[in-house]
Amino acid sequence: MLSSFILLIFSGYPVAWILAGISVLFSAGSIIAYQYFDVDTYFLTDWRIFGVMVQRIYTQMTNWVLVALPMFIFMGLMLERSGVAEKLMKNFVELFGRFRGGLGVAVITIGILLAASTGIVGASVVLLAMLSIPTMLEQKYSPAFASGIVASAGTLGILIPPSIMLIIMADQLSLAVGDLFMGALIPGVMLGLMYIAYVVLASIFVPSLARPKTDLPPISFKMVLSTLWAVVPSLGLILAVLGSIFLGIATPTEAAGVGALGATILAAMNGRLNKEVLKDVSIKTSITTAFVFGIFLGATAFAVVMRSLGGDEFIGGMLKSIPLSPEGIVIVILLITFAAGFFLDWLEISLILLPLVGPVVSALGFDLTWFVVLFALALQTSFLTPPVGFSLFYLKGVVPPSIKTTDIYKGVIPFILIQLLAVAMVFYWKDLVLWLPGVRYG
Amino acid sequence: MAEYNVDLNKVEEAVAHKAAVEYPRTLVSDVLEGTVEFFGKYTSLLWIALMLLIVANVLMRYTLGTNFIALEELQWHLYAVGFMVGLSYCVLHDGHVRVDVLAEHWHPRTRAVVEIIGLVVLFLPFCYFILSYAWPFVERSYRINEVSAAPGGLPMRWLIKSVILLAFTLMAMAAVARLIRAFSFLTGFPRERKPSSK
Amino acid sequence: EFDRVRWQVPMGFPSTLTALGDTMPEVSRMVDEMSDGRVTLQTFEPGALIPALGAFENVSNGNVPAAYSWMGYEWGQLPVAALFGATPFGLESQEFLAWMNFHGGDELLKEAFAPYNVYPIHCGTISPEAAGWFREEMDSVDKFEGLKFRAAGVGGEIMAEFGMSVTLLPGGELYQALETGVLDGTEFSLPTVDEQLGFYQVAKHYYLPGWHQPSTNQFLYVNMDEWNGLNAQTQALIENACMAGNAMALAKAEALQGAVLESFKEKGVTLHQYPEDVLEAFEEATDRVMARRSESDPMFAKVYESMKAFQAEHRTWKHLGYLPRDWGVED
Ligand code: NA
Ligand code: NA
Repeated sequence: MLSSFILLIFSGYPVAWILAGISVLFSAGSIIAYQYFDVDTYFLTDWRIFGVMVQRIYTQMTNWVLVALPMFIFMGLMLERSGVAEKLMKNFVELFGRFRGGLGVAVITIGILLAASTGIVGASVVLLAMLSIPTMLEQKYSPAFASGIVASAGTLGILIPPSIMLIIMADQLSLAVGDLFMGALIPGVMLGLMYIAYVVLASIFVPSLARPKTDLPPISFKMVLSTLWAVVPSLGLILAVLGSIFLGIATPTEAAGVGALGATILAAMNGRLNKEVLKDVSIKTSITTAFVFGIFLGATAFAVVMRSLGGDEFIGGMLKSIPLSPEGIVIVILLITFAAGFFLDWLEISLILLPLVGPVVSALGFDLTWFVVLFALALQTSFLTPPVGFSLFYLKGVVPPSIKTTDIYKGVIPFILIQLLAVAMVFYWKDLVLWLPGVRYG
Repeated sequence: MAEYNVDLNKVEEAVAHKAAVEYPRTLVSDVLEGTVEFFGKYTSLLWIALMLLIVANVLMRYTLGTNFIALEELQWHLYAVGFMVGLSYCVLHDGHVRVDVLAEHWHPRTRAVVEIIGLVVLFLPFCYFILSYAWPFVERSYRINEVSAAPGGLPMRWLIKSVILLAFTLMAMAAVARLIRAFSFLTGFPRERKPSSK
Repeated sequence: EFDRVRWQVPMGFPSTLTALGDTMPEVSRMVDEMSDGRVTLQTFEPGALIPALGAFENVSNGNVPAAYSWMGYEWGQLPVAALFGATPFGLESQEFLAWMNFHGGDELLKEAFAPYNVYPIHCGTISPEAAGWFREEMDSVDKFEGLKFRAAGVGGEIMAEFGMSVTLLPGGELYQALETGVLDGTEFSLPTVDEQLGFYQVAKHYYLPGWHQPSTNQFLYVNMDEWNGLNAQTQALIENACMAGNAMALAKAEALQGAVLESFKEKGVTLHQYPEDVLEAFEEATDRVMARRSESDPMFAKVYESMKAFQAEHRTWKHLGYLPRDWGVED
């Protein structure tokens, strides 16, 4: 089943409906095999499995943990419309453009600040690319370097909370969303800082990669003030959202709703809010939410059929029979995740793979919060790995033709390596994840 | 000093990631798509309502120190209608994620054929089976007069359950519309409808 | 010769929850062993196939041949079911077994579910649940006014009588809701189970006894058509294994609570027993709710009356035949 999925995915037909369709085809095949050819099809012997699917769809509808999801999406889209990113870019370039790699650092910083766009990776990458690629190329940044910076900075949002990826993972494994947010915060920011460190070091040691801007006026107090003024509102909003969850004042759903309103107010303050924008953001929220839930539905159908055919026991048994230490098994799982990331996107992997490996990892005695953050880090690379890497797709769609696909591929390699380094660090220092949730519960 | 004004419509365009082949419009498909568009557009506004509802619930919790179960249940009712109806809207606007690394190099006709096969073999059968099993699901809820299991919760569970029927009907409509259009693109039948003055 | 049976049995509780969730896996192990592998009742964790609260609905619709759950969850669909799951100020585990098997309870159960094409089998009963975790001390009836509380089944409706705002959140979300003050209090299950969910970290007042749930009864729902398709020997196998499951669940639940309560004290939790006036107020509210419900639902009335009749008959024995509850356990 998995392999037919991976094959079909390249037909260019929507992923969600491939998953759903495969579940129909395999059900039909199993039912015919059972009823006419007396084949042992485990539990899948008639069409009633679709009754189970209807029930599962209804469960998605009543799943109030996921109410936070469209609200965070709304908040992210609204932040993009609010003009905050443009303001940040202008100020950062003025302030940091004069240093080696300064532009790159500015882009990544904006990526971190915009991380509240909660994983609408497409939009973050495109927005960052449009803002910064022309300027970077003008400054003779190497095309590969520039596109690597944008692609990876744009994906930070999916990891740094609030993050729809973490909400979905929490839902899959019945973990508290707040715990995962807190657990992912330090690794996420750490990853952003590692990107920055790489950009700085690379541009110092290989000056041809990135040249500083020379036509800038000297730093003035006013410039610093105006930069702060650009940073404070959006940073404040993110801190308020995360802080209220951290301090136990609000549930993630409440924080998301209030955050969405906050972003709307921010847009209004920047003079960007009007009826059109509001309508547009709502429609985009529908479409983005729907594409996430489309894959949800497809994956749920897929999972039920696979489970009824005995797939769970098969994969669980296979993982447990690996002749390695518990740590070894976790490493194998992470490698599988990383490899799956070349072909599949984070959403399918979280929905199909995570429920299979979660119980195994927990049975091995590991903390699931730690594991999920590790898993999320490994998954995040899936955006950057060709051939199916969404950041790369989106980036390619908007860069000038002077940047070739090979440039983009070359550019992301160092960032993928950094990503793997971060996975290793979190693997060895569990406290990077567990310390913050621990503080919270005293 | 460079200005950093981004044309957001270009952002949207780049993100939309469409099938890239524009199929001709026909009479029947226009009617079907019009219906889906209507539902999609208006349910989108539910997100604003949901946002306000959540904020209102939070305010009530902190000012009055209490909460109303019915209003809390209304939160997930809105969310459920929003995303379920959104699914068909997303089909209409081709927002469901495609992996077209290979497909983008194919001839438009090949892509249309793939589209038709996908709709007929994968998507429509799924809609059919879900609809046929959702019917007894809703009917039963109506027959036993199911209500929320929480006291003070919302009555008439069959109503929210029937959103599954609505959503999948709309999805099937959007799919059939697409099917007709792709077919028209390949064979010229049904005849293309010239976009009226718009 | 046993029939060759292979059923998916989704459960309403994860198998990790002591006595609540690990009974059915044990029953299915017994069935497997006794039939030498011919009868497989493969349990599935909540959500793996169907949601935790969907057992009755899916068995009734025939989507799954059987499922395992607590009947209190059926309050929104089939209110009478909740009485079998647990009745406030109702039957304790051994009384419930007595009523079910020797005072007509089982017949009523089958009667209530027959219209829904479901054959339920009593398959696990456990000790009283706790009354709940509160962030504040609950020393008077007034304190319940406006309280945000999680409760399931009939108990929830009774608490609503006190002006409490009652929700039915799933177990996994309770911790955070309690922490953020979305809830002021929650009940969930036995002390051992409550410990597993970590409530003691965020609420420091633990109230007993579980007046709303003097026993908690789980059932194996079997789709009627599937059940009728089994031969008598296979039917007997499943029913007897469930009866063994009842004994086992009760023993396990009783065995573990004392130690856990002690450990709560060490973790800074104050254990409270509700004062009599609070319990009396609860009982009064129970009578009101039960009378109201009985009026509109004849089957509900019939079952409740039967239970009450048994309680009345049993009363003298319960009162005189046992040592008083506080005999020898005074601090
Ligand atoms: Na984020
Ligand atoms: Na990838």
